[in-house]
Amino acid sequence: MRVFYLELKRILKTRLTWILLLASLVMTLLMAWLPTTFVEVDGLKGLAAVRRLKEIQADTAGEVTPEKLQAALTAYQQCLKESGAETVRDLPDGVRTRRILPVTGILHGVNEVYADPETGIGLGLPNIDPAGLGDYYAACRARLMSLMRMEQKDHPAAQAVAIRLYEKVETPYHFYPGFNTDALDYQILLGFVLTLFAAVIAAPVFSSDYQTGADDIQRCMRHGRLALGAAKAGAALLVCGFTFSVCMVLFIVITDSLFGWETVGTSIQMLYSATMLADMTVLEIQWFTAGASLLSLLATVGLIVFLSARIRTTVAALAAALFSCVLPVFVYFSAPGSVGLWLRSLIPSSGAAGVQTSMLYTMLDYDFINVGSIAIWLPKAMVIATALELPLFAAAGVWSYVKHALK
Amino acid sequence: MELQIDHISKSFKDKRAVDGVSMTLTPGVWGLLGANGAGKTTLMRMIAGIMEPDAGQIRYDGLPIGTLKGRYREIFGYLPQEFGFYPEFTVKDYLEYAAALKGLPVRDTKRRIMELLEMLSLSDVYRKKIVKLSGGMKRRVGIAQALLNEPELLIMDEPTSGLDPGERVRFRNLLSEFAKDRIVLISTHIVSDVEYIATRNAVMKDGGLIAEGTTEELVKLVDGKVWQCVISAERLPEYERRLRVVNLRNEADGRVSVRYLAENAGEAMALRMTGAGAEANAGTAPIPAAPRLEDLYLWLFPQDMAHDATGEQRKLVTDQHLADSSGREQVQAAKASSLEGGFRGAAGTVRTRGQAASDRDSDSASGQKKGGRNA
Repeated sequence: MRVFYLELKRILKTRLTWILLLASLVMTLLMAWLPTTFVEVDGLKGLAAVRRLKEIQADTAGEVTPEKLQAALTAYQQCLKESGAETVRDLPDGVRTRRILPVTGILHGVNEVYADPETGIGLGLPNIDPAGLGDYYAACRARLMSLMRMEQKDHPAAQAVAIRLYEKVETPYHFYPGFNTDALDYQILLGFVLTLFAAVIAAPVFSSDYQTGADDIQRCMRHGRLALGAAKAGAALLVCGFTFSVCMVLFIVITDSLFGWETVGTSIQMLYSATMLADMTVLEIQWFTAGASLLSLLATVGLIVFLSARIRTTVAALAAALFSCVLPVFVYFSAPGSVGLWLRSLIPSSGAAGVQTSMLYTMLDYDFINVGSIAIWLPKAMVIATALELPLFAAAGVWSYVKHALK
Repeated sequence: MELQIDHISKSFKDKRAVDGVSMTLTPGVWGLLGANGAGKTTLMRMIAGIMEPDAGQIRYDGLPIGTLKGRYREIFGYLPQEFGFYPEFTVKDYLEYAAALKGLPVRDTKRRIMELLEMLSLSDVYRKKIVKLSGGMKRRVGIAQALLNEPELLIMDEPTSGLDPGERVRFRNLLSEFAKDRIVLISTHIVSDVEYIATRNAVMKDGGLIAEGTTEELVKLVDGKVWQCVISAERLPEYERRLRVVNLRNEADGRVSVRYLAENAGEAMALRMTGAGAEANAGTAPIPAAPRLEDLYLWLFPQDMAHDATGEQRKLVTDQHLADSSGREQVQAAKASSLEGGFRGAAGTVRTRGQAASDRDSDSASGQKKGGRNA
């Protein structure tokens, strides 16, 4: 424990660590604030626009009942009809703000749910019969089934799992206006930046000792092998994990305080796809993605610690560490199909790297790892894999360090 | 207490860095001498357990160090040639960190660190970052960490490099005192560092152990091969070309006192009487000088005399001279034979490489593993 404490103290004494910790804090504050600046309503910008939007859409707040949807769609279509416009773009700004904006939030998923089941192309809100919204949630289920038939044509197990997952989603959905999905994107981006910072902190853990020769001395000391290896890996995990956790908590608290704590009770289906498989509110998905990203970050640090124990120079270890962070992005674009999915589930940084490969965006999708008659939803596979990889890589790193010998 | 090094070998790609070295280290200061690339550092790394030998075994009190693991490291102190440390550490941070790794109890750590700081004159820089210290101070911090746990077995690779003469003397005295009932092995090519304090010396060349013994025993190997004479300054270049000059000193009368290595006095005698104006310029006749460990070192490693401007030329001339007399191979054989003679003359207390090979053969024959030490 004393070795661990001193190793922790050592890491926290390095200038680079402090620079990165400070940069993490600044990035957190900046990224929590930035999404509010993108909101523009009725000539207002920033937090004033958020407040105005909440006022405008106040009547639609709460449960998303079929009746509310019918009333909102009727009001939408009536506005177009009275104005003689074909689309909302043809409406004057004032009319759009006064009559369309109040219902756009609650009507978020309607066009998607009532899309053509064969082609998946939406009909457009002006062409959907409000009377048909009476069975909105049954339509959501039907839409998911048709979607799964298209997405997982050869995998009935995956289709069945998707339906089972969706059946657990609480309906009716809830909608509280004002929250912006940019905030969730920035949370992902922050997670990625923090992962890169963690890579820079963890990469030299062992390799710099090899390079400077400090390892030659330490290795000859009583606790210089297993205890020191475990202390080094543990300290790197603790510093990176703690920094990530503090920054994420700070980010969520600031973001939700800025947008309003009532807004985060919104069902995630009201911001993204109406048939999303996760049974979560905005707040729940914020915590879940933060937790999953933390796990991914720790598994990535475990991998980097392992690489650091195998590589003899700091620069090479850092290059390998950074590459391991961006690897999921390469895989996402260059290895489509089941191979790509397998790789994404196995690469520890998948949940924390990039936007498209992040845990949130993976949860928005309907990708499954199919093994015979077994289908595992990709986000679940990623969480399971990282939970297993974290101790595995950390232990492999410590073992490699213990067994390291000069050549 | 003894450390047995039993037929240790290590190769790197095409180079055999350590070649079947056997010796038994007993309490006292041991000097490990050899030119750069002789295999000293590799041998020390294997003793430290940070490098695996390709063949052979190292045992501490009869047990292989690989099986002793933490128990071996507990009684071990090591200072490598390159002292690596964390740039963010102060002397205090570093020594506390090292003390924790060495398993020193917290209550003893501060006392021991203070003792060593005092001993190594580092008290004033206690809170300074190591990276900002001078080379000599850094080296002393390295020495301090090696001594922290008061090791039974202390291995130091070039510990005095970067130390000024005063620091070196203090270090030697410190080590002499420390080495009572402990095994201390110092590798160096600064012969004077071990000449006065080493209980025994081992000499390595081309990865092999070519001689082992006390300083007095080893210098006997060059008994009758160290000469000195006084010559006129004009004749110095010729002497330098033709002889293995180890030391020059300008005398008050403008002449030069020359100390050199040679099989016998004949070479210098002949030189004395030849050349233009030889009689007028003739110096004193060569007389035998008392050999020192440095003379042995330079006798064994003539290439180390080639470090100054004229040295390389001197070495070439020396080699040429040796080759001319009886062929280079024969000269090498003669040298080895001379060493063997020295060993025999020293009543079996000095080991040579030839004998190590003989030990190995007898080991193979008997199928027994034994320490390399001579009875």
